[in-house]
Amino acid sequence: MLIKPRLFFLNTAHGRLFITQFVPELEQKIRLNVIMIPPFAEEANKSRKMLADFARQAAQHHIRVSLIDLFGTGDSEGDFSQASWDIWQQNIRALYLALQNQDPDVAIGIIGLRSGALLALDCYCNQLIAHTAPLILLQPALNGKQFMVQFMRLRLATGMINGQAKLTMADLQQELSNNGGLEIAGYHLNHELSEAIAKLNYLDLKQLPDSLSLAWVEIGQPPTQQIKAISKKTLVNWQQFNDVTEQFIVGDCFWQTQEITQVPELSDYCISYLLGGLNG
Amino acid sequence: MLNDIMVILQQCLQIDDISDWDDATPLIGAIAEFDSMAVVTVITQLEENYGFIIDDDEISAEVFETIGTLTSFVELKC
Repeated sequence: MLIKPRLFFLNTAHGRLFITQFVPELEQKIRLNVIMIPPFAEEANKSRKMLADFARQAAQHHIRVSLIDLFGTGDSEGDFSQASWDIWQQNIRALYLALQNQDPDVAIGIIGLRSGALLALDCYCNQLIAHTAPLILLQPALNGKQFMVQFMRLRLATGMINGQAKLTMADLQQELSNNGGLEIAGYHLNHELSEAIAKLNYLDLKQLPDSLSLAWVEIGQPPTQQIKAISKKTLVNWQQFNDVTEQFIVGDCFWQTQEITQVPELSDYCISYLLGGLNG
Repeated sequence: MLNDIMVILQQCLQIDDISDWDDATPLIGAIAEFDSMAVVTVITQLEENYGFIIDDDEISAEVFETIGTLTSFVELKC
């Protein structure tokens, strides 16, 4: 049967958070709660279908997935131009506590896609959430500075296509800093958010918090056939002390493709990892 | 190299039939799918596949004029 999502607002200190929850048919038999953290800006729109499909499938395996719209994104309160990393961290914590309150005996896992993976890991490392349940980092964007540069490139590319006067990354940085914000692909990026993301680089983290276990998943098409070399360097460090699994899945990069696409193998893998963590 | 670039473009733009593509095929302004997000996706894919860093000042309309100019650019970077 098709599982219909339960839509609701969660009241938090930073306004009402819109949550799309995919609930198993027999709610009393829930094995795991999962918070799904979407990626940044347009990537969140592109991936919404895939994340919802995953959540529907997970519900059939007694996993309740809560897809969160962070402050200033989707249908949650606030404007993107007012969003901050700190508010987003508090959003995750608020949902985490609400789920914990609702089902004290059910573990809470987290899946973060791209910058959502950065946010998830940052929440764990700052002890905003406990390390008791599985974490999945999907195509994680853990180098915040590089991620911001890639986002700002959209503005350079738009100028190039429209034949406008050539701007440089330095021009954009200056505008961001002088005006407190910058319009990129329909999103008003504020300076504070950009700075907060740019100063994070979890690729350099040598050791994960104790008892945190996670799966690192990358997706791509040939000629890419395996996890990126730069990711490998980080994984080797983490694997010395923690239970860290890596997986490469062949499929479209659904968070950035022109058309909305899906990677069914990714859903299968995530469900299997999440349930494996409970059995182990 | 030309073939690899075509495969990357095909995947980023999600175009099924590329049988009529060659090095003279124009990109910017000619292929509707080639918008700013596609440009950034292609740049990121090239960086990740070939392991080089593209300086943002190198990104110009000339590089993305045709499949051939893009291929020459990548060959120079490798």
